[in-house]
Amino acid sequence: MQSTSTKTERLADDPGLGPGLAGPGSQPLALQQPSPGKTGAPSDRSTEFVAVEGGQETTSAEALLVTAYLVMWAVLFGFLLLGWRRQRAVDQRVGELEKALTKIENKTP
Amino acid sequence: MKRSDTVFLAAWGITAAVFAYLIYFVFLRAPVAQAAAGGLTQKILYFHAPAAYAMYLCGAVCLIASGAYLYYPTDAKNAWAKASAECAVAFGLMMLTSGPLWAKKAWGVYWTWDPRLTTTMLSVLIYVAIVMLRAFAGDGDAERKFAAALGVLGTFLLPIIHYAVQLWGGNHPTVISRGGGGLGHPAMKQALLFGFIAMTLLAIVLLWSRARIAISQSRLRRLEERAAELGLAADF
Repeated sequence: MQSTSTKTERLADDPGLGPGLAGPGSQPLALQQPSPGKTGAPSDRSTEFVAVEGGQETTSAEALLVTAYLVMWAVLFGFLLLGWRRQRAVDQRVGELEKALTKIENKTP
Repeated sequence: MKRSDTVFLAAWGITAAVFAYLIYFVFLRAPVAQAAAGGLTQKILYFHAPAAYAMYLCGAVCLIASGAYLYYPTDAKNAWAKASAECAVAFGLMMLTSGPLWAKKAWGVYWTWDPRLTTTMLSVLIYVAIVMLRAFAGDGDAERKFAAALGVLGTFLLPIIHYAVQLWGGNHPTVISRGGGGLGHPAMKQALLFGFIAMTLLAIVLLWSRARIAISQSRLRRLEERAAELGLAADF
């Protein structure tokens, strides 16, 4: 395992990092090209990730909007369904008890 | 059918019609906002902000009903306190699920520990605690009073949420609150207005539905007590 100082020096030399670590005058992360030394060999792929210019946006506004509405409606209908089931169960139990109590009270002189 | 049932069903019908119009208006009439505000995802606002407002509304009902129950306990007051806490959780979940999806586009992250977001989540968790307490600790007088006290205390967090952005700053926009720039197109303003009307109606019918259930549960509790006095088998 590398010591912290050695690791920091290595990061500061790497053009794939943001301005904070790469030093003054360096390009922002999203505009940098992979350094020529990065060959795409298996060793590069497993040790670091390098940003490329014009990377494709992965979050679609349409997908987020539709998901938001679906989740909201799911919450609402779930809430309604639970309430409806609870009301039905309580009404059934109340009906049974009322019948039984009426029977007992009619028998009592 | 009883007259109250007819009015109840009519209220649901009106709410459904207003929501249908809201969906049409939001998707087909309201324009898309600037990219920095999330572009198309900004349309989440027309449900997200009204859901937050509906949570405040349910919180206010919870405060009044719980306070009234603590002062002079009745089944009806307990029913409204219980119903309003449950509805506050439902609206809180709507707000807390829709907001992060909008934030992902506008801010680049689903969640950030912004003052308003954090206080909102805490408030929803208080209402979740009330619902859990009522669900698992029984329906005795002591439990009812404890839940009512929690309902009163929980509602005091709502003004803090509302003014969190002005008090502590943060990422959350202040477009429609005091000091905000407002909505830049008449159709946006109308969409938000319809959103508030629709959520108000939904809050009313949901509160009414849940209060009916809670009143039935209280009635069941009284019948069970009476049955026990008359020696009716507990498993009947």
